[in-house]
Parts: sequence; structure tokens; C-alpha cells
Amino acid sequence: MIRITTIVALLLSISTSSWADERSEKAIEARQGLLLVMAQYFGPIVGMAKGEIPFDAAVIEKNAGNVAVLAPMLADVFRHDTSASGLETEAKADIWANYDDFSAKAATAAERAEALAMAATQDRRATMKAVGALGAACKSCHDNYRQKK
Amino acid sequence: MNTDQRPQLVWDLPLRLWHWALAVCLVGSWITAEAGFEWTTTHFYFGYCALALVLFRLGWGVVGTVHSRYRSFLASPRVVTDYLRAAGATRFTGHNPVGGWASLVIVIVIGAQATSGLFISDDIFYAGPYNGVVSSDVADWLAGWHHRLFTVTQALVVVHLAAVSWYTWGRQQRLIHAMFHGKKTLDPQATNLTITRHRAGRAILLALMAALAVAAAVYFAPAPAYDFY
Repeated sequence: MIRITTIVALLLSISTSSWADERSEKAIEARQGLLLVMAQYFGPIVGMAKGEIPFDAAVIEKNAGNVAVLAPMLADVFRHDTSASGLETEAKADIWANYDDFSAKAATAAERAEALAMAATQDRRATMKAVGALGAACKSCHDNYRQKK
Repeated sequence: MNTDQRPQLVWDLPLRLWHWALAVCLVGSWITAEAGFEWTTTHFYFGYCALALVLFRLGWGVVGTVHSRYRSFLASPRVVTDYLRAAGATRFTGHNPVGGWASLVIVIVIGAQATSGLFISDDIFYAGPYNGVVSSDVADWLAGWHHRLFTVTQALVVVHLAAVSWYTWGRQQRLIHAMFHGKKTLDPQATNLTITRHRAGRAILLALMAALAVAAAVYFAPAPAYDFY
């Protein structure tokens, strides 16, 4: 009887742990995917702001619009705490220890992305200022919550 | 044998200028690293200057005047331990055995730090000129070292300042003053090899070569790639 209970408990623990891992795996994939796509849209905007690639108002407008759609998803994809999963990730455990701060920073990024998308439909100077503001918002999390090896 | 008690010229002018230029670069890169991302470009320039200064110092350690040369002050471990046992009582014309090694360590650490900066990025706006040639894993690893080596540099600077202060006010060897006017009051009992010339022409040539090497490395770096949709 004891043996059966042990086996059942063991099987249960294996199944729950692999289920939990799968969830963490998916959470990590979603986070990395979202950030990669955001970087691919934001990258050319930064390149134009720095004068490394020619300014193209149409590209900025389109890319800024997409970044503004994606940015509010940040807080969602980071909600699941993967810090105990043992999976390889650059997301620091501090994210979930200070989730209020993290989600406030993510919300600021989302607001500034929205402001950039608005500015991009209007004038170039305001757009460049909005690029700087959004970049600073991105950086506030990257500096505190992204693990550098 | 020099028995004159008046201060004698020991440090050539290029070495002293180099020393203070490096100090400016360290303070400047520290401030611009803390001041926010608008200062990142300035931080890059301080880093390029630091790198050129490191190259200059390594070259000056071979072609400079006698007390700037590595051969004259990189002492054997035995001389170093003897010096430590005497608690720094022996006077040396140029670097003492511990200070000599310390100067090389400082130059190597700063060189490694400046070099690591060429490969890293802040994820958002700025990337060193060679960020694109390494994988993001390597860049992250180097970014970690860029930060860690700064802590090492800070520790080295604290030890350096404590040591020169101790010599200047504790041992009455005016090392801090010597780094301004280049002169030291030497031990009249010892054989002192002082200098009479600064080798300014050589120094200018070497400084130009070091600056050009860094400028070329930055200028000819591959252009960053941007993904478009």
C-alpha cells in the first residue's frame, strides 16, 4: 500500500513538474519572441534617429505603430514566474520579486510607444524626442532586470 | 653617484601628461556611464582615448626615457618581496618594485576594459563598433566583464591613491608632487639615474600612431545591420 502511494506520488510529481516546465518554456519563448519582433521594428527607428540609415517617415510611422501594438503585451508575457524553473533565461528573478515595479516600467514603455506612434504621424522633431523617451523606458528594465553574463 | 639633495628630474613630460590624461579619461568615462544614455557617445570617445593611451603607454615602456621603460622597473619577485619586507623604506629613483608592477596591472586592466567596450551594446540605442562581429552571447559575456573590470579599476585606483598618499605624507617621498613637476628628492647614498631629456618628438610620433590605430579600428569597423520590414 505504501509502495503504491509512493509510486502514485512520484508519478504525480513528475507529471506536474513536466507540466510546469512546459509552461515556463512557452512563457520564455513568448517573451523572447515578442522582444525580438519589437527590436526588429524599433531597430530601424533607432538607426534613423542616430543618422546611420536614411530617414524614412513612412517606415517610422509603420514601425512605430507596430511597436505601440506590441508594447502593451510586455507585462502579459512576463506575468508567469519562471525563476524557479531552472530553464535558461536572461530574465532576472528580481522581475517577479518586484513585479509591481516591473509592470509599472512596462506600462511606461507602452505609453511612450503609443506617444511615439502618435508623433510619427506628425512631425520629425517630436518623433525623434519620442524615440529617446521610449528607448529610455526600454533601458530602465534592461538595466535592472536583464541578466548580463 | 649623485649626492645632490635638490630634486632631480625622473619622470619625463610625456609620461606625466599621459598619466593625467588617463586620469581624466577614467573620471570622464565613469561620469558619462552613470549620466544616462544621452552621454553614451561621449562615453565611447573617452573609451577610445583610454585605449589609445594604453597603446601609447605600452610603446613608451619600450622607447621612452629610462624610468618610463618596463625593463627598468619590472623587478623580479625576489626584489618585490624584499621591498615589501622592508615596508617600502628603500628609495628608488623611478618606480619602486611594487609600484612598477602595479602600473602595468592598471594599464592592462584598463586596456581590457576599453577593448571589451568595443564589442558590447546597451540592447537599445548604442553598440560598440565591433558589436556586430560577435554573437549576442559573447557580447553579453563581455558586457559582464566591462562592468566587473570597472569595479577592479575602482579598487586599483583606491589602492593607488592610498599608496601615493602614504609615500607622500607618511614616508616623506613626495610622489604626488613628482607626478606634476617630474622631480624627486633622491637618496644621496644611492646611485641615481636621472634624466635630462623628455624625448618629446618620439612621444608625439608614438601618440599619433596610437591615436591613428584606434581611430582606424573604429572607422573601419563593419556598419551595423538593421532588419527592415
